[in-house]
Amino acid sequence: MNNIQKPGLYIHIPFCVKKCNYCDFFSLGANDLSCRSGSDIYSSYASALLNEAKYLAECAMRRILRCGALTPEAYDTVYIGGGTPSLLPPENIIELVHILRTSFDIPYDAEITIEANPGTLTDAKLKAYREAVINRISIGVQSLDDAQLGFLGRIHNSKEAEEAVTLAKRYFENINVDFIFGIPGLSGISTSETLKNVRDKASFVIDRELPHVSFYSLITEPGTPLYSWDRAGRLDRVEDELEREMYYDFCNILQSHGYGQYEISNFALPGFESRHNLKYWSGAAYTGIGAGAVSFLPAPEDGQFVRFRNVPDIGTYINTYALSSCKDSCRLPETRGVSEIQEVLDVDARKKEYMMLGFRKTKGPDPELYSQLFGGALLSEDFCQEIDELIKSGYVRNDLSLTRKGLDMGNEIFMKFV
Amino acid sequence: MADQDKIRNFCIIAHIDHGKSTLADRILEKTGVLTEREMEDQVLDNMDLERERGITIKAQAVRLNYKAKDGSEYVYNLIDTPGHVDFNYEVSRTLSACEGAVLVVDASQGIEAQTLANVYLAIDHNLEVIPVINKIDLPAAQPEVVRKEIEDVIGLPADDAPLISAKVGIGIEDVLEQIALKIPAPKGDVNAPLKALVFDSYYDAYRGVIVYVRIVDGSVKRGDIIKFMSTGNEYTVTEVGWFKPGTLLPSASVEAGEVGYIAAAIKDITDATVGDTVTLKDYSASEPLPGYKSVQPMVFCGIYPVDGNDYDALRDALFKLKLNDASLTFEPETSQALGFGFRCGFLGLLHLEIIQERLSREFDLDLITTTPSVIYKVFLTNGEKITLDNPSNFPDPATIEHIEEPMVKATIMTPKDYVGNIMELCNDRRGVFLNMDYIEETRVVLTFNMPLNEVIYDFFDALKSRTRGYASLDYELTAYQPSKLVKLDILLNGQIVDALSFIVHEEKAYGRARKIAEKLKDVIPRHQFEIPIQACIGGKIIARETVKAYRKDVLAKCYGGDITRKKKLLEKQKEGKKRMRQFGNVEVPQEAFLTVLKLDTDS
Repeated sequence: MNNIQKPGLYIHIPFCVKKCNYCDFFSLGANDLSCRSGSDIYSSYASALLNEAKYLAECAMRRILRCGALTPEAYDTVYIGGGTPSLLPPENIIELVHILRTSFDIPYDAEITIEANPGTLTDAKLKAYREAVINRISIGVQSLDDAQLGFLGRIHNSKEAEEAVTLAKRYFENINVDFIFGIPGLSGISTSETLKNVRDKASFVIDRELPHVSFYSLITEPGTPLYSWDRAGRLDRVEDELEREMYYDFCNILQSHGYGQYEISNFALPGFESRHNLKYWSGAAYTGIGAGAVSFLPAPEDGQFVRFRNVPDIGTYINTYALSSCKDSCRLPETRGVSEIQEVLDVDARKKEYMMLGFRKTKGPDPELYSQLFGGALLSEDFCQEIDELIKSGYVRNDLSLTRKGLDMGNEIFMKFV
Repeated sequence: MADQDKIRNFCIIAHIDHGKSTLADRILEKTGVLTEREMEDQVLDNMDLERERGITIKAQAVRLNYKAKDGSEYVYNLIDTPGHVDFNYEVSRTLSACEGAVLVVDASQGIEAQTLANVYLAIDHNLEVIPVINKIDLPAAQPEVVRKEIEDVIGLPADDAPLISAKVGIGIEDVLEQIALKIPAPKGDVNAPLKALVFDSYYDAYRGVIVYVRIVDGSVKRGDIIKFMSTGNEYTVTEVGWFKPGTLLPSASVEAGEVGYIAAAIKDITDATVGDTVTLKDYSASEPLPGYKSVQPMVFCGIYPVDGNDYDALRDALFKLKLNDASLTFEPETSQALGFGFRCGFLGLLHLEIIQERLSREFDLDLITTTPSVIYKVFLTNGEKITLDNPSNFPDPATIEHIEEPMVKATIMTPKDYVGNIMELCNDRRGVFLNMDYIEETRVVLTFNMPLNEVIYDFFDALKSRTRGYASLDYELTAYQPSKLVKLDILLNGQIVDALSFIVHEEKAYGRARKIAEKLKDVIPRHQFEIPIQACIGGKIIARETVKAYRKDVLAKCYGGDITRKKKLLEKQKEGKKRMRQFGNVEVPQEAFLTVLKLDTDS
């Protein structure tokens, strides 16, 4: 691992009460878990997670013994995402975080986030999260309009979302809410989103003094019900013009209330930017634990990184980590268990990816961090031509920050680096 | 070689999705040609395309052995038929090769358009039709209602129609037994001069053209010199034999009553066309079998590679497809907008689509297809006459004396409830009503005189959508007729895109122009600037739309687990940008050229 940025730790909980109509993440709704009862599979899964964490810690320990490295695996951000992590019994979460803390070096000021669905959040769960010293909670509110929530396939209504946030505020200071905008109507059934919906969302965040909000433009991902409705021409789409108006309305309102926009879809009060997510956009390493979780780690070859994914199958995953200790001799992380390599990145590929992801941040990729990561190389030299073109096209300012056009046309920027 | 009494030649006919291919699979399984392990579902539909679309493009045949309950051994020849109006002639030749047909009717759906169209076609060919009621395992099955429907609507006795489920495998024995009992044996004269009906053919790299034949009279064996009666071409037979699933089984001879193949080192598939009669050079039949006609392409369009470097690959691919498809024609042409490509001729729009899909799937070619055209006759003021199948060659209107276009007699069979809709549609397509006949109380046959140019676009689809799929269509070319035709040009960002030009009747030009402009507006992606779309006739703009500049193109979400996948999406998007055709500075996706072909008035 590089010493400049500590890696992040991601835990995937691939369970939901019901899969949402727009979601293409690896997660199973209760209906898809027909063979075993829910609580059974939750506890088997939770213990598999613990075993994978212990196994990784063991590997790290052996590396230390072998190579004389001084510190155990250190993570200063942990993100428990899903799926719906709040679906697991709270004692599983307490135990999980406890094991992570004993297996790895996680400082007490680490950012530890858990995702929650308003329909599954209770006082007892929130209390348990605090007990586990989880210090950030991300709540998927998505919309404040019940017709839209129904269309998206959410399990909660707007009243429950409000209650969940109010409840969370009793235990957490660092709260994020997720919103989706640009929600179409289903032709002939419900109407699509309006500017008023968007302003309601902004007020929701400001009135409750929530320090962080993610504001996502709805994407129709292949394989989702939304996608097939779209293909069948059943969606009453929001036109680009209106969609952008919504976006900038939201940006302006938030900014005028002291929120900074630090990424295309993310806004925070100063100091509340998601440290974990920023790692993804800054070339940092991360370890993923759980079925379908992705890791991005340095490979033995000089300067190479490898991105690999654990098997996205709950049964296989549980079977792989059913035993509490791993008898195999310690192998390289990329060959661990049943994971599949997605991509091996050499220095050039990492540089490009750094640029692509860096331009998701409103300030653009950080040239200093670039030099630190890539042995003193200069971003302005390596990508002189691309940057020149981006500035000429009006996507990027001279200081590499995104212009409004750059925020609108992000893909044009990203495509320069793939 | 088999005793003619014990031969049964039959096909299976059905409305789409009523279970034709599944029944064929079961029959193959029951007669032991295939073990279950070897079964790939729907064995007879060979091409991926056929399986996906649930249609049969080429006829397929298979020879089976069946031991009946009375202990006799039968030889069954099952011939699968294509099912679309574009291939009607091939269907009629296939039916001519049979004595009987198994009619599959869905127990929950009952009789539908193609059921009737096919049954009447079979009855026209004097086939014994055995009705079979399929899908009786479905909860919605109403076999007794359907049985009565078959008797009332088609007029076929159905009291002993087997009730089956091809999917589950119920009642297949009954079907096999009835084939033996009810379908008449062929009655050819094995000693008469050879008369073999060609009902299909394909090109084999080692043996040359494999000619599918039904031997009506006589016999043929290796070493015989055969003669195709339409061309007089002669060949020495190198091999004869029968069909086994997916393979050919050589035999000593094929004789009267049998279905089999002949290989004779024939290089060109156009020398063995469907419907022709094969006889022996030295013991020749005096008359060919009735019904031969030479099938001519009726629809033409330009096919261009998206990447100019693929021109040679496209030419090779067309040559390869041509080996198996006598009705496909092509010759090189050049377009200002699209560069080098080929002008291709097809039987109809489905044929065009199939060739296009095969080119892209089997040969991995990215193609652009221009608006299809028929063959016009243009008479110039200087007395010259031009044959025109390409709008690009449309002469200066000032030099045109008059233009003639091909007309067809369109025959439409429909339940009487839809007559109004059909009248309206045909009227809209410049059809002139000729006649209406009741074939029974609830069904009528309508005939129209229509310009072919109106039939080739999307008439079949429009007809189906206005009759809930019940109407069936057949058409035949009748004559050329003078008509007021003009050339319509499409301009993108002020530049004519010659590949989008087409010839249209003066009165319809305005409506078509508007619709094309609207469609193009939908399929041309937004650019970073506004793009005017204009339709004009001889410089006069008659329709205009605008593609607005795009306002956003950005991935909303990108976190750790997703990065590799998002990168792939961006790569694809980048690739897609390259693949679009650039006109001026407007990028036009292939889809744009396709969508203008389908302009149903309803949509």
